[in-house]
Amino acid sequence: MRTFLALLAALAQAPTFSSRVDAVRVDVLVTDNGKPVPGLTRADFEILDNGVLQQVDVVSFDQVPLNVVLAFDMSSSVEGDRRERLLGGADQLLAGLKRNDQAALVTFSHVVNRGTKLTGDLAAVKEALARAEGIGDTALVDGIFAGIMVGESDVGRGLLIVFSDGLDTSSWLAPASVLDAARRSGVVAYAVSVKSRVRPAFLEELTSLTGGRLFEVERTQNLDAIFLAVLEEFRHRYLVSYTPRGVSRAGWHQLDVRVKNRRATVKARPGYLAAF
Amino acid sequence: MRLVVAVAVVFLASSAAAQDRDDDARMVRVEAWLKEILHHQPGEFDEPAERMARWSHAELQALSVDAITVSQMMREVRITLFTFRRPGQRNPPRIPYTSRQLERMRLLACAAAGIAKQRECVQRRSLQLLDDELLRMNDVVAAATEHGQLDYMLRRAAMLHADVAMSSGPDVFDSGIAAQVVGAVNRVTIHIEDGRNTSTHFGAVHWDIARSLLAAVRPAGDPMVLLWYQATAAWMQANAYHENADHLTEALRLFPRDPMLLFLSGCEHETFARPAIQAAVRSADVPAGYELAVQSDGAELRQAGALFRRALDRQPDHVEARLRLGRTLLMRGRAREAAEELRRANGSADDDLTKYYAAMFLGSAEEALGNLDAAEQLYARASALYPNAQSPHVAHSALARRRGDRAGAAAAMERVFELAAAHPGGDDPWWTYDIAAGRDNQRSLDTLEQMIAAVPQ
Repeated sequence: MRTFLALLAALAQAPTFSSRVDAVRVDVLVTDNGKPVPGLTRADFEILDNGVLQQVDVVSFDQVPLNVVLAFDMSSSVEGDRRERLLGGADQLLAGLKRNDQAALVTFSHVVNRGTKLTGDLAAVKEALARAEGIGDTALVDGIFAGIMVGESDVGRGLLIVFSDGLDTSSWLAPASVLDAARRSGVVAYAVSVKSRVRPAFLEELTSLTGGRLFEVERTQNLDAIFLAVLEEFRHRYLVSYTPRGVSRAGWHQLDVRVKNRRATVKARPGYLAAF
Repeated sequence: MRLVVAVAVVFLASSAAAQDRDDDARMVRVEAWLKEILHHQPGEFDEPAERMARWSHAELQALSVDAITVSQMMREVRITLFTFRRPGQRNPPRIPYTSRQLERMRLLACAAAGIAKQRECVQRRSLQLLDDELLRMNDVVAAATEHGQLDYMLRRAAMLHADVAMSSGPDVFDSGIAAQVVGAVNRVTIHIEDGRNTSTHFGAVHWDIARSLLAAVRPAGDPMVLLWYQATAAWMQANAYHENADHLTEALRLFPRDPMLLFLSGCEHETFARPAIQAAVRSADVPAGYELAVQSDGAELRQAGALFRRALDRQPDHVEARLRLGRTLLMRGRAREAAEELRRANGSADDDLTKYYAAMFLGSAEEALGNLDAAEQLYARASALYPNAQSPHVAHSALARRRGDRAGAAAAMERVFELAAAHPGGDDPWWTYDIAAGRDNQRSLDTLEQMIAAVPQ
């Protein structure tokens, strides 16, 4: 318990990507044949920041509470059965959160709305979700930007879970500017997109550059299982922290995260932008 | 936002077409149509318009052919061969009328042209075979012609069909099957909602009929025809209804240098570049033989920009054309040129809506050029113009974040959420940018109605 509190305090004092504090946190998923690899310590990790080997300071596993931001498309394309299944899936996901985890809800049609701030009161999140109705166009890019902002509004591990059909029809912001914001953020984005003839290029890029994953589904029947799988996968990620040395602070930092001395697949954000 | 894009092909021939040959009902409908034109009050959805709105898809298709036949007979009563070449059509079909149908249409054309009492028509026993109502029509048309209003019935017919189309909305005419009338246009309407093709139907051809009749109006360059196209194209833009460029293509064929038509055509192409249309077009279920003439977003933006430039060549003080030219340049990554155009538009905009768009787009251009202070001021200005709009605050938040101002970014985003809570449906001109270009359509329609009403009957 003491370790846990100490870690939280350290993280609170060293917010990721702040212009004043150099500590960098990286969410890392390590798998072997598709199964998460538990029990790794900082001695097992190797991080290269712009090609320069770094010393890993802290590694935690399922210890830091989650800040789960649900960013859900509530446009007219999500009305009816799809909305009901989305609500059902969200219920399951919220039920899977642990005691100190928090959740928030951002919905977007053409309007970007925050159903709830990050809160431990999960009933309030459910109530807000139940009130949301599918209507209007889709400001996907604006909605995800809002989700990133909410995810960063508190310490903890930011997990952004996006549900949409992947088609943006009314955002003000350009995808490039939000992808840039995502590069500067520690939030990991997972997205569930309903398959169509149009490739969800923005969601592909968002999830890739934050180290998350995109699920493309034919139908929405299994949303609850997908959301739980996202949560499970995220809980099995390591939070690796280091203080960059030997690299300039500004600009894009290419990250290469490896696990030493064993066969493993490592998934992490490909890099970060240092400012903000 | 709900949009409709309509595409057309011409039905050439089939065995089913033969059924029309001895169809007296078809001529009865042409006569009824002429009487509805006479009684219709332009600008109203009155009883004649309501009755026309109830015509079936196939009946309108037949009328679309017969109306052109009548208009040709109004010029030359003795004409016997009818072929209709539509744009892009190689082999125009011959229309298979019976001699009885042709003779009846000649008499109807006499009345519609106001020449029923002239020798050629009298020889065809017009005074005996036309009823009192048709003879009254003849007198009205003759009086209008005397006052210099040529092709009076064609003009009024265009007004009637426009009024039906504008009052009813495209859904009213939806049909699951294509009609098979030789020479007629089959128009497919593709309904788009939130970037998805939600339904595809065979729709009514009111606009096609109106355009084909106005193409025959004399003299060339007629001001009423110009105003009709200006008003109806603006209405289409304002109502997110796009006849897949047919309407404005024909308008610009007739009036290639009119700045308003050039502007509206630019707006249509700018709309076609929007993600909602681009996505829907890629997933649209379009029947075989029909083609949505929507190009890539880049190509549509280029075409839009070229049309805005042509509009500005003719009317350099067209602020909204300059604004939209600036936006198309911005969307194409030409921020420096965009900023120049947008600064000029921003400096001369005189209504709040144009000022809002100018501030937002110029803010975005300044951001692209790295002028972040200027961008911030412009977003603030836009917000002051429309305090309930979310977009300026979203833009401000992203800008603050880019500058490393975490508190500023969070505060701006907080304002976005407050506005959403206070105005659940939203109130942001950005969301209606596409349709805003046609917002003055009612003024043009009113002027058009006054112009028609001024003709003595």
